[in-house]
Amino acid sequence: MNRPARTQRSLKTLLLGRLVPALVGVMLIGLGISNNQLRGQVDAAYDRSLAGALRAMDLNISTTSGGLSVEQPYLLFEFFQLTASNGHVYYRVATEDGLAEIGSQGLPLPDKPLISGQPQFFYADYLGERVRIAAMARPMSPPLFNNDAGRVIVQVAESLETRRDFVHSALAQSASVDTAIIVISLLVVIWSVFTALKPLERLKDDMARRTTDDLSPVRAGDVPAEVRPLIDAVNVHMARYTDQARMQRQFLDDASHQLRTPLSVLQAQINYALRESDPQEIRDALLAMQDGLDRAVRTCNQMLALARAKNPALSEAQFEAVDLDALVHSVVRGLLPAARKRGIDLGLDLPDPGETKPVTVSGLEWLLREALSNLVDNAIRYAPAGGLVTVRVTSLDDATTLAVEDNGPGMSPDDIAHAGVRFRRGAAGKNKPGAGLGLAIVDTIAKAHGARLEIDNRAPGGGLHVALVFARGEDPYP
Amino acid sequence: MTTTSILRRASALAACMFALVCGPAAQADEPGSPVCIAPAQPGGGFDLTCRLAVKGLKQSGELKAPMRIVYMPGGIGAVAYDGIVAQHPDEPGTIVAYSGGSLLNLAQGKFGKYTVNDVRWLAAIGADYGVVVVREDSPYTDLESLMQALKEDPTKIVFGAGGTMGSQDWMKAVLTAKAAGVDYRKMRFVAFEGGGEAVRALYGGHIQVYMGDASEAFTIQEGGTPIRILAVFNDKRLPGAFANVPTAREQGYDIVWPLIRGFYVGPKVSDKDYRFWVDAFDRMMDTPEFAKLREQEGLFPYAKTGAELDAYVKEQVKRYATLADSFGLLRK
Repeated sequence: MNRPARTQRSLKTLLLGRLVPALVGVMLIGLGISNNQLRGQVDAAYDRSLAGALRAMDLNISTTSGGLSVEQPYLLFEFFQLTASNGHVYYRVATEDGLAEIGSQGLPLPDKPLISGQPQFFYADYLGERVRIAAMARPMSPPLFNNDAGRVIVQVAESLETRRDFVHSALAQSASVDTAIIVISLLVVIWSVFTALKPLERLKDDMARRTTDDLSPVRAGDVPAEVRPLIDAVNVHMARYTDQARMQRQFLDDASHQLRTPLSVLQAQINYALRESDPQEIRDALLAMQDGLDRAVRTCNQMLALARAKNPALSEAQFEAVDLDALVHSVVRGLLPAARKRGIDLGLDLPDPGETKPVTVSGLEWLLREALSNLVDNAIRYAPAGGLVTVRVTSLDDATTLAVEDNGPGMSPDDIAHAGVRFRRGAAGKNKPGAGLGLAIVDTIAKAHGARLEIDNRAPGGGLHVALVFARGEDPYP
Repeated sequence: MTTTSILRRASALAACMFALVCGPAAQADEPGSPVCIAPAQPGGGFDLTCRLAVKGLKQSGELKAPMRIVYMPGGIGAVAYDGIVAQHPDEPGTIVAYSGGSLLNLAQGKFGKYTVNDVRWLAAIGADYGVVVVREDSPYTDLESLMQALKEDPTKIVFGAGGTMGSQDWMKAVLTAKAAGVDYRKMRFVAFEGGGEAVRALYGGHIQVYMGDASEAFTIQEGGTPIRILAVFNDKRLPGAFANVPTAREQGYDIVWPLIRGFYVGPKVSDKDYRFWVDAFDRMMDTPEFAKLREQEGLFPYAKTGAELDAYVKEQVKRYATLADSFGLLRK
């Protein structure tokens, strides 16, 4: 990690670092805009009253005496005072050539030429202060002597105190409201971010407080919906670990349980052998011990095979094409001595190798070997002496079947239903040596390969038919 | 022309004239480069006041160096007042003309933030007085008949003047209406571009009464325009051509409206220089030559200088303020 500082930024920093400046920025822009608009609106409103004063002044202008004159009723003066409640009001009535002038001398004229009858509003400086001026020109009626085409210009001006005060107070008001809104929004945002992230904090504390062997599911509680899949994933993972741990404990329990009996039998036999002085008796005892050891070894191997078959690390990625023909030959060859010992006819029923290509399934060779060995071994054990055991491979379009048949006593429906349970001995096996692991191992291996374990009694003549059916999905090895 | 350019030009002028102040003085006491500021365009009452001082001081020999006239128009004296108080408060050679109108504006707060206490009032060298003028063929033969008509129907009598509302001409009209017992709010008043236009309107029958000043009325009468002067607003009759014009007081209406003309100097002008100007004006106004000059300019005798004038001006501004307030001209 070269940039831990950047990548480790907390969600809180990220959220607040973007939300807060963005919020403040948006509000400030809004304030700026409303400030501008307000100034425009205030100007428009005050200009209207200025235009009213202008009109009032205009109505009092007369040129009938031959000179320019303005009647000034007191009302007009009061009107003017109302126009600017706390500032100066100026007015100027003059001919366009400036030769006749009444009122405030030198009140500035607009830069643009005046259109008759249309008031023009503009800012200017007069007597050292900023004023807003409304100016209007109109033809004189009657015209002044020697000035036929001349116009009279009426100007009314007010200093800016009134509108400035108004704008300032309105701005101050809207600014204080906006500031309050900003502060409240910020508080809400900060509060929201903190509350939204609080469940995560709680989760962290929960995890930190856990003891090392606590694999119970993580409590989701009020965690946001977005985080829940993560928790679910963590819980699935934990459950897997819990299962594995349970399986390992189970294995240990099973192993010690299963090995205790043969070991105590061995101990008894050793004690017996040590007490005996007759060499023949001692030899018998040793032979009996050899049998017991053989069984114990077989049980050990089976338990290891079971544990390996249940290893969650097994995956299809390790699978390879297993040639069933070769596998069957190899297993049967290994078990021939045992079969011969019981006078059992161990037969094979395989597809004709000349006609088809080798029958393969996808899987792990050593596991399949283990499964088949168990099945054949079981069949040899349960078939009556001089009985018949057949290993059969059939390859159809939709499935490949690896079956083992015997002509033994078969299994009760109850036993068939519980065939996959470890250490359960069926009714037929009560007086036979064994740990009851065989079918459990086969079942586990079948599941690991996605195959089906079929157990049924052969209807005519009795005997058991056990088959591993590999459904042909997408065969990667055609 | 904008105010800033007026001010800029004014300060440029001031800068060049003030630069000469320290030049060689013709007399030990005399401030160098004397200047009279007329706070208006040439040709008005302020120009007249300055010309009177220039001629008078030269004739009486009070000033050795020639005094120049500088025009500084704007706000009926407001620009010049601001220039002296804020920018050149200590120019000993500079005097600024003022009139009763200036004091009235000062009283109404039209000189910005400055008050009557911000300059040193130097002298009043003459006065004019308000007069009530009607057409010669007017039905009003005396103040009484005008007052009666005004009382009967205020809308029938239209006052006209060269000044606008709040000006000293308007004040005279309002005082007249008030004396007749007429609400000043109902009085009709028409502002003209100048006295001449108002008199023309009087003659055209557009106004019934012209509120003017004695000197102006005298000029009009001398010019051949047939007018009748109903009253003069002074406590006693004026000399010369006005000897047979009765005062308002004589006719039972207590209206007195003098309009003094004179000068002030900057607030930081030293006592010594102030004294020089006071003495110079005192001596000048004692000479018969000056009386003649003043008469030529149409002004009536009025001589007050130094502390006496200062007290009078401050008192007058206070009276004006009260008066303006009573007519609703002051902002609260």
